[in-house]
Amino acid sequence: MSEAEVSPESIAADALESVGRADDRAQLERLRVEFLGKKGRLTTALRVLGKLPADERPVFGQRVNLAKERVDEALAGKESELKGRDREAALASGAVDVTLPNGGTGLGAIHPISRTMAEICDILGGLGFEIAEGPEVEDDYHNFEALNIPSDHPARDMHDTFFVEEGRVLRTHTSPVQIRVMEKRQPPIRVIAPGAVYRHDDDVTHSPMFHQIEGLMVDRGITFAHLKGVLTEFLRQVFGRNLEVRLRPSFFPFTEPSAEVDVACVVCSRQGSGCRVCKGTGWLEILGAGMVDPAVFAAVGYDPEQYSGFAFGLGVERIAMLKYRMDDIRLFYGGDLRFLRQFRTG
Amino acid sequence: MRLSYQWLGDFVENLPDADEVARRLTAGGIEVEAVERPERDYGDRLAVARILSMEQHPNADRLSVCQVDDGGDSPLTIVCGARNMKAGDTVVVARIGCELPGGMQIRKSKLRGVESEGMLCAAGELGLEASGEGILILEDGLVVGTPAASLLGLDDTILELGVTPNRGDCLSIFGLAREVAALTGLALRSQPTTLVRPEGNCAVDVSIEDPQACLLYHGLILRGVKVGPSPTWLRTRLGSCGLRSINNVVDVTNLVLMERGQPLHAFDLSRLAGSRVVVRRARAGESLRTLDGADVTLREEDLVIADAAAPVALAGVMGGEASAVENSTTDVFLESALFDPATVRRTSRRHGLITDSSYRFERGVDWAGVESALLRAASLLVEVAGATLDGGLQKAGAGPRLPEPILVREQRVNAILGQAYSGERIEAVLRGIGAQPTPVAEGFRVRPPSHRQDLDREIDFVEEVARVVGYDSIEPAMPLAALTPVAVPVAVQAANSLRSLLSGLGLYEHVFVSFASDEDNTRFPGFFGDVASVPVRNPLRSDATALQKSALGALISALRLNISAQQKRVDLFTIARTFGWVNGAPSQREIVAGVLYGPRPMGRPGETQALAFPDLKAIVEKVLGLLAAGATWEYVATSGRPEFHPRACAAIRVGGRDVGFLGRLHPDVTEGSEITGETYVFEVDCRGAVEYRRAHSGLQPIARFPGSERDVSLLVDLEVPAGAALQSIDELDDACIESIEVFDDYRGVGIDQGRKALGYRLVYRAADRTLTEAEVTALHERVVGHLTERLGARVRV
Repeated sequence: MSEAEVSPESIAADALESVGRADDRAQLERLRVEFLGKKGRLTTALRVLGKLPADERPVFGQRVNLAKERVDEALAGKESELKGRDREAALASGAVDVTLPNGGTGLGAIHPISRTMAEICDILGGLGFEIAEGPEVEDDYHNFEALNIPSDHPARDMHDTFFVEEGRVLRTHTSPVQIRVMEKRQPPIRVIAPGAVYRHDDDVTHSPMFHQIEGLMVDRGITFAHLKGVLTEFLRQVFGRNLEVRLRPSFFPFTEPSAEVDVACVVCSRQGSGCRVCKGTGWLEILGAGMVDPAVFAAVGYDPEQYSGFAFGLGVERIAMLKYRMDDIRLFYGGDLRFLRQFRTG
Repeated sequence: MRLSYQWLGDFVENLPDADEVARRLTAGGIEVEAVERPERDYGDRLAVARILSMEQHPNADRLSVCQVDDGGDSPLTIVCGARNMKAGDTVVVARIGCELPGGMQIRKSKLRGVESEGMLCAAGELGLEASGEGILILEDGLVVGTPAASLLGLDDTILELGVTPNRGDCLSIFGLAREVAALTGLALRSQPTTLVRPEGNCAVDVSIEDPQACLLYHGLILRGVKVGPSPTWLRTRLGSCGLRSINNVVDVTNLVLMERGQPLHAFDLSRLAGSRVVVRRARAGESLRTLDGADVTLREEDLVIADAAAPVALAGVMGGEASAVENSTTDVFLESALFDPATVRRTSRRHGLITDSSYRFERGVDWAGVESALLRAASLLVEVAGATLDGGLQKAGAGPRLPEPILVREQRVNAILGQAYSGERIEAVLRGIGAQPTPVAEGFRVRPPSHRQDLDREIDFVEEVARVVGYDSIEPAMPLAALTPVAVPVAVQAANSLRSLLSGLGLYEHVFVSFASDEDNTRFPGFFGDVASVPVRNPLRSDATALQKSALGALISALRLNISAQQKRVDLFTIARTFGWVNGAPSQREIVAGVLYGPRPMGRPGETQALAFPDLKAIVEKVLGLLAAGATWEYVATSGRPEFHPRACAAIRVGGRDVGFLGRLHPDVTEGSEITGETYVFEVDCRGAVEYRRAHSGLQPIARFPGSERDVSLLVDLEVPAGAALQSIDELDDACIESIEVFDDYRGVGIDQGRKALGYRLVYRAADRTLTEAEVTALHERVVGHLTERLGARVRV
């Protein structure tokens, strides 16, 4: 064996060259065995150690170990390089086109009326109003009489009514729920009653069935200023912080004083005289309200000297039409997917 | 109610401009719904003129050449195509430079060689309602050169008002003037009109048989009446209210109705048999032909005005044709009365006759104005119809019982309004609306003005204070209230969750009107089966005669619409109310229903799979899991329902009750329609299902020992449902049988006709140890033995 053949440095140089050329991990494994295995060239190189003079042995031993380390490092480096290359290839083959459609049915939609109702109920719920319900087929007493709308009174003209058998009607407003709640409970009361109501009317802005939300608060010391405060707060949450709110006198048999509540036109902000939405008035009529009439308290057996309260009723479609800039109410009830798709669940 | 701004100005001093009047009225509760402004400013370009002469046009057969005096230095030459005028007639001339409605410009122009210096106007050309052919001819006596625009009301502004039913006092120009004065503090003009003074006896005898229904009846006789056209000013006033001119007598009664709010009626005295007027209830069998030519069969509840022989008018509603004023009438009996609002309303509704008169009586007419309105009308008839008064005022009736003064407490006003108004402030408001407050210790005793019949309780005056002071001046405040928990009702919560769930599953929510046709209710009985529908007695449409018993009819209609709009996949749901007439009363259920239509998309683009029952079941399963969490339900094959395919329908049974149905739509439903593919629907009773909700029963220990799976394939008859094994296995009641599931349903090659192979996978596990191979094998054999016996099965090897 020549010195060159057993020189750890030249063996290492051989090894590094082979490792550099290696192209797959199996080849690397073979090189590891060839150079570093039990019978590998660097392992066997150590065997000459015994033949060396004692003072050369430590130096030679160090040279072999250094060579082994260098080979080991080169193998590890190459191994990690090859591994990375394999991983890259595997990942590349796993590529997907993320713009292809999903395999399922996609999103559906919650109806704009339901959305609007839920939003309003959430806001009023946050003010402590609890949800109450009542039947859609009502008796004359709860729909009219108890609400201070006697028969033969012109106030009945305000309600184009659908009639059912035996003195029953399709409720013309959600106000009868007020009566049903007060018949069952004592103040303090803070309720809202969302639901469908019916009027004998059918055109671009009227549907024979539509939705209202009724609100009622009864307690000691409730005032008209409170009505104004609660409704202003509520409407600002629906339409925006700095919304102008206006109350003007009106007439409902079951409230007194009564008010129509207007908000500044959400389209023209009281600017445009040519605004189609507010017809140039700058104001939008948004709900009716008032202090509960003593006659209503009498009907449910509350003492009007002890308790006072306010009630309000709003049209859900009216608010939804403003929010979504709609001018034909019939779109709500057609079930047309081209309409409904515009309200996909977000 | 239409309010002429110019007419209003006759009654209120220093009236602000129309916009300000509109603003004040709206702020006071008389809503101005629209403002009709004059179309253009005519200035002096439209004038009253007189035709001096009229000659044939030299070059045109159908034209005339008129010399017209318009008050200028020399007459105008005007070429005109109309034929209805003659020399001496008073007309309206549009001078050079005038622009008429519709944009026509009047220019100096030659017509067939003759220069025309203006145009004679027809009513239609001025935007007025045309009453006959040709140009507008005015009455004699008008001064030529007078600007015609204001005479004809062309420069007037009309406020369209929405008067609420409590404010009958605002259904007249004078009433509105009074309201404007109350709201603004402006003074009412004193009325210079001199009224006639009837004296002596009246030749018509009046008696009231029903003093509750007729509170006052005044009448007087006018003779020598010349019935004819009304003067222009009168026509203009009526026109501003949207009324057409009939003749001077009827026009005067209408004018006073509009001006004072007091309905009047003029009878032809010669047609009143026996010169008698009796206010009484109609008798059985009586009838009346009304002014509009309708024959009305009277009912005994109807209040009528009768003469000695028969009814001549429906009191407060409409007069009869036979006693109406006609061109030949010379003597008139004029009525001004006060009828009970409810009586008038019932009669008006019963006969479908809603008139300006009935509308006002229903809403309360001022008793204090009955006499003055009559005198005003009589004075006008003297003026415009040449009538003379004959005798005195005939009066009957005791008048209404005046209300006691009402106590209005200062403290109460402030407690309701949340304000601190002083006694002086409250008193000023009360005086401003014409009430008479007398100070007392707690506040005031108030007598309401006669025209405000809506003010009869303390609260009514509280509202007046707020209304007149202005709602705007009340500062908003938030109430202080005790904290109370706000629980959203379970059903409402469930409905909201269902919306999120189903929209997340790709369905679109549909909301629809709850009406159905009788056919729909038969085809889709929902949960109401054979019970009757809730009928709608006055439907708007012939296919909306009842409330829906099921939501499926409406969903199928929407499906049809969407298919017509080229939609290929239609998945809709609804949360709706359905109705039935159960045990003599209407019953309402809240349901969730849905329809699925069209192929389902698969993993790869363009790949689809036909819609099938499992697609539907997957959705219904989630609906039930949400509504009836913690409950167990089973699917029971059901046939015989009219809306479902008899071999592809299941009832959902919970606790022995059917809370829903799902399945394929019966082919009969879609036959012949645009729905060509298979359609699957479901309907679940939301509140019914929610009742079966169970609270969580507490955590079960998580299995610590490994389980063993065993499969078995059973050959069974085709009719045997796969689910049968699931129930049979419960009979073994062995705690070590953890689960069983169906993993295969095979029929075809290798299986006998009429049989199928059902594959089941069973998991065995004990809670306290690992089961040995021998234990599992023994248990599995027991299970297989039990199932083969119960299902009539053979083990497929």
